This record gives sequence, C-alpha cells and structure tokens, in this order.
Amino acid sequence: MSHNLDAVRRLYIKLLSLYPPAFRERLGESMQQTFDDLYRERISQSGQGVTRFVAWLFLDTAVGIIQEHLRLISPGELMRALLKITGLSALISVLFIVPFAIMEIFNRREFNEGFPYMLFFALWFNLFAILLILLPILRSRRAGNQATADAAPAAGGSLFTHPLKLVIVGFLLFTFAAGWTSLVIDQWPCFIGVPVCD
Amino acid sequence: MSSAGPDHPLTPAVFHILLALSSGERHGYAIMKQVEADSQGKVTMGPGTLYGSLKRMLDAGLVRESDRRADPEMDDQRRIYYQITGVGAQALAAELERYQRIVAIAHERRLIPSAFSHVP
Repeated sequence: MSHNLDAVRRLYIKLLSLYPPAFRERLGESMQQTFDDLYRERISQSGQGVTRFVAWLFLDTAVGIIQEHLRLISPGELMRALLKITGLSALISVLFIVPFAIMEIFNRREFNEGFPYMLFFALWFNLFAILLILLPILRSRRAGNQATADAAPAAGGSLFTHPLKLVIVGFLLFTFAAGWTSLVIDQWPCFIGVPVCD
Repeated sequence: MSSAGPDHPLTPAVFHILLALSSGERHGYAIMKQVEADSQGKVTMGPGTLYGSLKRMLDAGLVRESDRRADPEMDDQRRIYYQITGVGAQALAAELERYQRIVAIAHERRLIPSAFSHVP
C-alpha cells in the first residue's frame, strides 16, 4: 500500500477548514505542519498501521473542531437558545397535528377504536425533528449574522459554505419529511373515516 | 517554589504542554514528542487536542508565540515556536506544588508503593 502524503494532506486541509475562522487563521498552518511531521514520522518508522494512525489523527481533529464550535457559544446563551428552539418546535408540531387528531376523533367515533397515540406521537416527532433542524437555520439566515449562536451547527460559519454540513442536514430533513409524509398518506383513509382502513 | 498561579487545577493536556515548554520554546510537533517523552509514552495527544489546548493557553496568557523559524533537526520549513510566559511558569509551579502535597499525603497514608518509599 503506497502512502500518498499529498492526498492525505489535502484531505486534512479540508478537515481543518471546518474550524471556526479565527482559530483556523491563528493555528491552521501550525496544525497542518504538525500533521505532516507526524505522518512522515510514522511512515519512516515502519510504515505499519499508518491508516489507523491517520484515522486517529483525523478523529482527534474532528473532535477538536466540534469543541471549538461549542466554545463559541456561552453556556447560558446555549441553554436559552436550546430551550427556545425546542419549545417552539414542540408547540408548532402540536398545532400541525391537531387537525389530524380532530379528524381522527370525529370520523372514527362510531368505530369504537382506541385513539392511536403512537401514530400521533410519530407524526408529532417527525415534525418536531424537522423544525428542530430548520428553525435555527431560518433564524440565523433572517438575522443575517453568520456568527450568531442559535444552537445551530453553523456557529462560527454559515451552513451553506460547508457542503458536508449541507449534505448531512439535507439528508436528515429528507428522512424526517419522508417519514411524516408516508405516515399521513398511509393513514389518510383512517382520518377521513374509511372503515377497515388499516 | 512559588505558590502563585491559578487556583484551579490544570487539565492534563495543559499541564504537560507547560512542562514540555519549561525546558525551552518548541513548535507543535516538538511539544508532542516532549510530552510523550516526559510521560514515558503514557500521554499522547493528537493535533486537535494539542492546538485546542494551545489556543486556550494563548488566550489565557500561559504561552505565547515566539517566532517563526526552521528547525535545524528537521526540514527547512519555517515553523511557529511557542514559549512559556511568566504566568504559565507560575501556573506550572502551582500545579507541581499541588502534586507534591498529594504525594506527601499518599506517603503518610502509606499508599505509595515501596519502590518509592525513599521519596521524602
């Protein structure tokens, strides 16, 4: 197995770009040099276990990135923002499923079935998760302040400047939206009162 | 030994970095190798841990960037060197005093293995 310093270094530089800008400007170059030194040392020693060693370096750096982003948010501010976002997401989700609950109760009152609590919990949870992801992004975009800490993963940098963040967020949103939509479509006959709808 | 310094204990990473810099200014890679040597291989830190700690230490005034020069034992790439400050030296001294007190207590309670019983 050939060890390509240039390719690994390019990957590491991409990883370093996820650090908050201030940290990256001050220490990014040193980190890159240290990575190069460590990598060359490992290669020159035995060449064994290089992949595992590099994986450890990447993991250590990734943890550091998360820590530095979290440090940008003061503890009190983080808690207030989290509570606000969580409460708002929960409330809006409840409001969205109330019409379905009314339809369920009204249209199925003659069938003597128990209320499907688990179904409505699943409907609420999927919506809650979508809002929990979307609300911080919408707030920071509206505020126009890319450094605003709203418990969003974009603290210290915009979500849309990092493609990886965009992919992860997009995937999560799609998953929860697909879950909610499929539940509504599947249970729609029940909501409108069709007998033997399941 | 001076007893001045922060009241709270240092994290292991900060302690080892200060210890490594106590013998002279070093760049990042050299700090990591010195930490490994000082701890006899028991403490290893990756670049994320090292530079996260260095950032906090720079902000706290425990260390400072000294200059940018090539390491004669390595390649000719210019590296940023870090040096311990007076505040950093005081913090290190205070931490070592704490360790001394703890070792003394352990010695009184006969918790130290017999191999080290000669340590006062």
